[in-house]
Amino acid sequence: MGDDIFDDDNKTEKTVNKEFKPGVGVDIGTSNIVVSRQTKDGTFVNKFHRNMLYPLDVSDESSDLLEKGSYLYVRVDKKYYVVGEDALNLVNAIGKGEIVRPMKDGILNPSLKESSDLLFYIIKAVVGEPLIKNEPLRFCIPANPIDQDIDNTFHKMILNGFFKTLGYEPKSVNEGMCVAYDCNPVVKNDEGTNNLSGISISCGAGMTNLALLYKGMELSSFSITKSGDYIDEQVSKVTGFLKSKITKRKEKELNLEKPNHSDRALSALYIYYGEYVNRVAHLIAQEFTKRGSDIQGETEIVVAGGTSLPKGFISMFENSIKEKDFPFKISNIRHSKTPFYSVAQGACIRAMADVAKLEKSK
Amino acid sequence: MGNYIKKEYSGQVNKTNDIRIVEKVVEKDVDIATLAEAMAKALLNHFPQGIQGQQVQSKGFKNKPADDFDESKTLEDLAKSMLVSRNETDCNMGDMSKNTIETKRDDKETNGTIDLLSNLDD
Repeated sequence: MGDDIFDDDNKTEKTVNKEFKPGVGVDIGTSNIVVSRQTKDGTFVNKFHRNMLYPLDVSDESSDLLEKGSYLYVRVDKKYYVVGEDALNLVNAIGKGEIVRPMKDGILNPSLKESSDLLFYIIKAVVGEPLIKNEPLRFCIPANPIDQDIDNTFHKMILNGFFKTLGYEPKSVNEGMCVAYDCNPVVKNDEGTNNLSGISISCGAGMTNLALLYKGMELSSFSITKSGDYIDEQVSKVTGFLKSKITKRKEKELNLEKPNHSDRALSALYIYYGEYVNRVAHLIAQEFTKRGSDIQGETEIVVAGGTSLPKGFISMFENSIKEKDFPFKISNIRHSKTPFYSVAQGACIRAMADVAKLEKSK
Repeated sequence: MGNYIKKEYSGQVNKTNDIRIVEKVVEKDVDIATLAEAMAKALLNHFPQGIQGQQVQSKGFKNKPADDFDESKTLEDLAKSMLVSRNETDCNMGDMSKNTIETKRDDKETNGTIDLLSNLDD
């Protein structure tokens, strides 16, 4: 999230004009869009963009502001939509209005009628042209949630159409599985150490996505709503601060190891993070028990996603998991080395596997 | 409600095993709806539950609509209709490459994962 994006230990210097391998991964999240490609020397190059909009009525003043400020925008009918990081900066500078999102709860925002139109422009700008004709592309899709009646089918079809229009050969991939492809959780049992086995969790802005897998095969997956955005909304409601301000403060200042109860916003963020972590741990244990999920051996959990970025998140989650009854033994919880990029990198790895499969079939 | 049909066949499958399947009309009413629901539930329990869009546990079989018309074509057409093309003057998307971060992963692990996944179906 925010500045934390730039704090990853694994980041390297920006390079220009590197040669890429075919196969691209796209994480279309409620809050951010991340596109990942691998260069021929093995480096992953991740491009990201805030999936946010700030609407302005079309007028001479707003046209002037956009031109002078070099803001990125899309015009739809009588409204300008300032896109990306600029949207967040502008709403905080102007101090009125609110950010709107092309997506909500992991899928296209049904309450914003221009959402698909706007999302297409953002995607087109971030993803760019295919390297080869019909280049394999994997885009992540949330699993259907267990706590809300949301179906992702239409969302998946729209995105598929977007990418086909851009000249790619697109396929969807489960978001939870993407984290597994990037982080490689393991299960240790009598057979030894089994790669790509265990539980992978993506803590996003709209949803928390989970997958249970064994030797690369998805055994079970589901999602839970009320994630990062929900935390911001609740804190905004109880403190009276704009949600966009809360988002910025969460990204820049929140430390779950050292709660700051003298600050109303940070204190409320800490409390709602506690609720989030407990809800997720409770629902995971409950759902796996209900589904009769079973894994022989000790299972590792890997965690990624923007909502997992605050310092102290993993130990808070670990404490909560320890209190719950799981139908199998949890060995440890591991944070992704690159939490913000794991889903996109995992999708890229899946796309490169599609390329490898195509080459094998030739 | 309907009659339960019981069929009876006999034959030798191999040298040691005889198989007998019985078929005859039984004079007993059977609630076919209940039977169908029980069978469907039993079958659904054998499907992997991690498939996207299944949600069989939370939706309940009884609430499933009888209309089995394939709506995928409608959804596909709707999705296509949402693709619009605007004039370049209607937007300024600038240079998106400024938000770029590079990361390094263990090449051996990445290649192992790609190899494993390239041998799996979706």
